[in-house]
Order: sequence, then structure tokens, then C-alpha cells
Amino acid sequence: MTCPDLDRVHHGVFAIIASVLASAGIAGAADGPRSVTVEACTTCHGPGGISHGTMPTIAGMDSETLAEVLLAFRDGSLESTVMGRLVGPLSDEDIAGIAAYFAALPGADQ
Amino acid sequence: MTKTGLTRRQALGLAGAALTAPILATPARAQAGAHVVVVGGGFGGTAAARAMRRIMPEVAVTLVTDAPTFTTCPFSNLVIGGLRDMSEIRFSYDALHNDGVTVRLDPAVALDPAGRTVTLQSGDKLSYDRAIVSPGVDFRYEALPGVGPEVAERLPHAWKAGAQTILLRDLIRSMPQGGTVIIAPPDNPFRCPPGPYERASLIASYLSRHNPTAKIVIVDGKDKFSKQGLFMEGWQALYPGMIDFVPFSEHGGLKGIDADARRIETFFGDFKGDVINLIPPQQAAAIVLDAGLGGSGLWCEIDGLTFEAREAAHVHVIGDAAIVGDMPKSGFAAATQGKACAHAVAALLAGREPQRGILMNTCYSFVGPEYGISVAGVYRSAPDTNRLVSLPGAGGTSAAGDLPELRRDEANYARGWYANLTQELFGA
Ligand SMILES: Cc1cc2nc3c(=O)[nH]c(=O)nc-3n(C[C@H](O)[C@H](O)[C@H](O)COP(=O)(O)OP(=O)(O)OC[C@H]3O[C@@H](n4cnc5c(N)ncnc54)[C@H](O)[C@@H]3O)c2cc1C
Repeated sequence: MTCPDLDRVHHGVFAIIASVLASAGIAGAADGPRSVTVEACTTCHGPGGISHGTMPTIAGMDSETLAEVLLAFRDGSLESTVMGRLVGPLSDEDIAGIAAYFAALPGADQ
Repeated sequence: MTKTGLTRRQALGLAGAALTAPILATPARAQAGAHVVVVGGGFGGTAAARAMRRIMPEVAVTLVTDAPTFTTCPFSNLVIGGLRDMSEIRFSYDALHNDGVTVRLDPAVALDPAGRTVTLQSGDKLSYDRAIVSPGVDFRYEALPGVGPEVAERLPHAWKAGAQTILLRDLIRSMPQGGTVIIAPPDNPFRCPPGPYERASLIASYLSRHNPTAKIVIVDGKDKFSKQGLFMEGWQALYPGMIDFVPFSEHGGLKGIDADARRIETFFGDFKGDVINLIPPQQAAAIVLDAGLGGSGLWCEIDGLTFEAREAAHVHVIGDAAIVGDMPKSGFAAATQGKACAHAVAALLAGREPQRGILMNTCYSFVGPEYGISVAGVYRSAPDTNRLVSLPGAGGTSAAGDLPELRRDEANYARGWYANLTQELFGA
């Protein structure tokens, strides 16, 4: 997980993310619950998504890459220690929302 | 996609902007001059206090706690095993001051839900619009045969970190060669279900280096424990024959405790130790039960959407003191609840509906310094009852089997988790 092996991400996932992000955009006004959900991420990935430890920094990450990785954890095409056990219940819209949220935060070098 | 004629990247960019706006750009407005009082400066309380200031900066937040620094129970087993120093698990509240949280080192002695006040030891009375209470646990020595709290000076619990952690560590260090450490964990529910077994592991790690003929006997108040298969697999791999687990059904319960002789008497026989780690049964901390928030029980029932106590309006109880649906009593859970609770309180202060988000927990345990295992869970409050239920298709423990790379990775992630969470709670 520190360095997701994107080659192993199934190709079909790209199409899903695009449509997920597009449709989540339309439903964006209703994304209140996600403001609670993203708080779960920072407990491991660091305050504001900036990591001070082993986990990767997710703030400022490209939304597309982040969504691809989360989808790949969810469908099992990307192996993980813990992430695969956490993302199962996330909907496509949750994943798109989380990806967009952290993409918009300033990264570690900003 | 083909319909709109956008490229994937364009679509992503647009979606990102549309999604981000409502999360980041709609700070809810609270009623003028609202005051949130947070009781307890541990995992739940500091998470809630800092999140409250971040989400709703116009709200005044006071954190009431009982010591100038906080020593974390997480990683205190590493201190007992000689793998970390106490100074590495102790944190100050300076960052909370800098966030604009008023920190009062003046323990709360009474909580009055009807008058909406918290009375401090000094006699000061704080009025609140909403109280967030995360005081952790108290020990129920009255549930143990013939001993009181003073027994902890000789048979330490080390279940609140600090002087007790050092006492247990030093007793183990000065134990004679070939001696026996007894760990006596309580029945469920208690703080940190995998904690006693991580402790057994890290004491074994220390003993295998310094006292290799010593033994550890776990005289348990229950028959099964968290991550049992993984722990036992690890003990077999790292410390074969050193740790003996005696389930409740094999001893029938504690009948007497002789602190001078360092002996535990059970219904089916006695256990003699050189060091005894007596972990008493637990209940919600006094401030919660004294305010009547436990009803007729030992823990506080709450609403899983708002964390408001079932027994009192405007008082939100989180962390170990509460029964939070299916969530375990862990620091990770308490911190996640603290943040979710701050969102709920912010919504209520602004007259909005609280949002039903997803909460998570991962409890990492060290079986050895480079051997980590975990149990995870994902939770959401049920729309009909607001109970925080474990969601299907998620959670569970690390894979079993001889997987040295996975164990090493999880030990690294455990350290990463600790670094990041303590940064979120206490870091600048
Ligand atoms: C050995 C051990 C290992 C553990 N390891 C892990 C782990 O690896 N991962 C994990 O997630 N969890 C772990 N835990 C569990 C974790 O420590 C608790 O679940 C967590 O501390 C609960 O947070 P809390 O906010 O409810 O209580 P606490 O963190 O205990 O905070 C409560 C604070 O409130 C203070 N307080 C109490 N009453 C008052 C009052 N009246 N006025 C003012 N202040 C008051 C207390 O002194 C304390 O500072 C471990 C626990 C133990 C014992």
C-alpha cells in the first residue's frame, strides 16, 4: 500500500471511476455524510491526510489515482494488509467523494 | 461519458470541484456564543475538542482534564516490554491551546444535565450548550475477592498508563530467573479487548531476551479472547512454551487474592506468581455514572448518530465510558467517535440534521517487535434505531498462517497508526 502497484489494477476500473466521479458530482450536494466518513481516514493517514508515519500521505493526491486505488482495494485486485477490510461498505459515490476531498487538500510539500 | 463528450480527466476534474465545494465551503454557523465543554483529555476528548474548533471555529471549547500531560495506553505494552521509553508515549496539551481550546487542569466533580453545568474540583462551574464526555473507565475492585484499590501498589493493573506502567515494567525486570508472571484479565466488556494478550506477547519478548526460562500464565476471566488464533499462532512461532492461557472454564473464577504471597486462588486451584498483573473489571468513569448517565447499568447508553446519552439531552458520551453499538473500547474508536461527535454537535448547534457517516476502527497488536496483527471494523448507525452497527462485507482479522512479510508490514503500520493518531490528537 505504500506504493500501490497500479499495473495490477484491473483496466475496467478506469471506466467505473470516470462514471462514478461524474455521477457523484451531480449528487455532490448531498455529500454531508462524507464529512464524517473522511474523518475515519485521517486516524491512520494523518491529520489533514498528511502522514507522519508508514501510511502514505493522501492529501493532495490525484483524485483519479486515489479513487482507482480504493476501488481496487474494494474489488480485491490490489492486495493490502488492512485497507481491503475497510473499504467493502463504501459505495462508488463514497469512494469518489473521499478521493475528491483529499485531492483538494494541500499535500505535504505545499 | 460518451454522451457528454468529456475526457475522463475532465470529468474527474469537474466532479472533484462539485464534490469538494459542499464539504469545504459550507462552515455551519452556530448559535452566537455557543460553549462546548469536553470532559476528559484522552483519545475521545482531545479528538472531539480539536475537531470542534476545526469544524466550527466560532464555538468556544473548554477541555476539562485531570493532569498536565496524557500518557497513552496504546504502546504502553511496548514500554513494559522495554521497547519504548515512557517519554515517547507522553503528550502535552500545548497544541490544543494553540487551536484555541481552553484547557482546564481541574477535574470535573459533577455534571448536571438539567442545569447544563459541569462543576470542577476548584468549585468553578462551567455552563454548556453541549457537553462531550470521554472520561474512560474506572476499576471495580469491589468485584474482586477481598482486595481494594490499594492492591495495585503490589499487583499493578497498568491499565491506565503512567506510574502503573513503570511499576509493572520494573517488577518484571527485577523478577528472579525462571520466575512466573501472572496476567489476570477480566471478563468482557473492558478497555482494549486484545490488550492483555499483546501485553503477554511483549512481556514474553522481553523475557526471551533477559529471562528465557521464565513463564507467563494468563488466568483469564473468559474462555475466548480477541484475535486468539493469531496470538496463539504468534506465541508458538516466537515464544514456544512460554505463555500458558488458562480459560475461565478451567479455573472457575477468582476466589481469593493474596497480595503478600503473590497468589491467586481460584475455584479449581491456586496460581503462584512472582509478578501479578491484576486487571480489574471495569465500568464507566465516575463522572458519567454519578450523573445518572448509566441508568441502572455500568456504562452509558447513547444514540449512535449524535452520541447523545439516552438518559440526558445535550450530553454526548463517547469512548470507553459508552456502549457504542458494535464498536470496541479502543483508542482508535474513541478518536473516530470524537470527530464524528464533533460533526454531530456542530450540526445540532447550527440547527441542521446530523449526518449519518461511516466510522472505522483498526486495533493493531504487537505479538513481537516486528510481528503485527490487526482486527478491523466498519460501522454506520442504523436508520431505524441509530445503533452503530458493524457493516457486512468488511472488518475481521489479519489472515492466519505463516506470513512473515504481512506480520512485518502490520508492525510497521501499527507504528504508523500511532504516529499519525497521536499527531492528530496532540501534534502541532
Ligand atoms: C495496555 C493497553 C493497550 C492499549 N492499546 C491500544 C491500541 O493499541 N489501540 C487502540 O486503539 N486502543 C488501545 N487501548 C485502548 C485505549 O487506551 C482506550 O480505548 C482509550 O484510551 C479510550 O479513550 P477515552 O477517551 O474513552 O478514555 P481515555 O483515553 O482514558 O481518556 C480519558 C481521560 O479523562 C480523564 N478523566 C477521567 N475522569 C475525569 C474527570 N472527572 N475530570 C477530568 N478528567 C477526567 C482521564 O484521566 C483521562 O485522561 C489500549 C489500552 C490499554 C490499557
